Amino acid sequence: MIEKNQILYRNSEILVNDIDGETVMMSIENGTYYGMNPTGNYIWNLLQEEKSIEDLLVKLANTYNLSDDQCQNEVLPFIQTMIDEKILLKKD
Amino acid sequence: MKHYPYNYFTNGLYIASEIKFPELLEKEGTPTVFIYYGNTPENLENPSFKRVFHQANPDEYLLDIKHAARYWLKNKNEVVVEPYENVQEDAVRIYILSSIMGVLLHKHELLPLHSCCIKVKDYSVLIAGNSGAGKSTISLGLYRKGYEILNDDISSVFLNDQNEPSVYPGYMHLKLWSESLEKYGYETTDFRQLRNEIEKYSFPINRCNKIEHLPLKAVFILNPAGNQLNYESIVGLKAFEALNKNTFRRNLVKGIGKEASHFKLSTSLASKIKVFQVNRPDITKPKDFSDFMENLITTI
Repeated sequence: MIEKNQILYRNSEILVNDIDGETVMMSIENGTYYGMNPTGNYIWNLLQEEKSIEDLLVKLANTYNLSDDQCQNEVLPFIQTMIDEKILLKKD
Repeated sequence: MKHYPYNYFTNGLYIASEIKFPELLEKEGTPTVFIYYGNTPENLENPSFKRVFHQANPDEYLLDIKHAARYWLKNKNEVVVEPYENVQEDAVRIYILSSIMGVLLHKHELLPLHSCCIKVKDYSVLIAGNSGAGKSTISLGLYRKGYEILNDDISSVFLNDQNEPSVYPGYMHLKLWSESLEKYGYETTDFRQLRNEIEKYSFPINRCNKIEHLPLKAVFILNPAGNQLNYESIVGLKAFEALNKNTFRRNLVKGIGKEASHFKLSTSLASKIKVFQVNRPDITKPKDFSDFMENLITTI
């Protein structure tokens, strides 16, 4: 279970570009392409500087008018996926 | 100072060569690529990519084809060719025009799309698709209708100074199966066979060679399937995926250390050009398909 005060930062081995409004990312490390939805894109943009997961959730909740439930059950798993795929990295 | 008897301009590269390539446009210029005979290593030091026939590291690429030659890209400017004994000259040349050219173009940060290139008025279009999808055959059909063919196999795409997609002309022949030639009433005996074992022939293309490069408007991807002759537009990530699938020697990009530039170029391109899938049922007559494609490429 991931701690809300865990600080995350961008993986510099990820390339990003925009195609007609859709964001595509590529991991140089494993050669995988990711089609990023607007939420993922927003999270990526927020992480111009490193932030804690708590910070991210607060900002997302405000921007998208999300309930605590939605943050817990939708956004958090999504952030976990971005960590699993090494798009975002955990700061020790 | 080595003397190179042959000078070419193809796919955006000025080439000085010890080997003759009848398919390439002879043109003097400042060469950035040199092709010459010499000794090649059996293996690369520190390969980041190694398979049975080829290996690579960020600086070099080595291709070993026992019925032709061993080819060593020392860097992005030099191709050293060491032919094996008793091989056909044509076999030696074929791999330079395919794999070696593909790697060179990636190294020079051009995007090689596996496609034919057709000139339409003041712009160009690409016709892509898997081997056997019918790219060269439809190009022959359009050539007979009077359209210039700028490329048969590997189309070199780039963004020009105004950041617009553009394409460089390439090889001056179509590689056609005997069936395709016969479809249009030609005799295979009039043409040079590409390799003794294969029923494929070199069909020379005449064209005006004053064009340095041309704006690229669209890519048509042939899909030899479906019930109806039609086309559909592909956008966004799907367009990007389609271009990737049709990128020549896509599997080598990582081994030669060009992922970043390739990603940037191919994603930018996917936003800027129109991509279409063309569905062509088996039973479509060549003339009907030629007419259909002519209409498509002139009205996009």
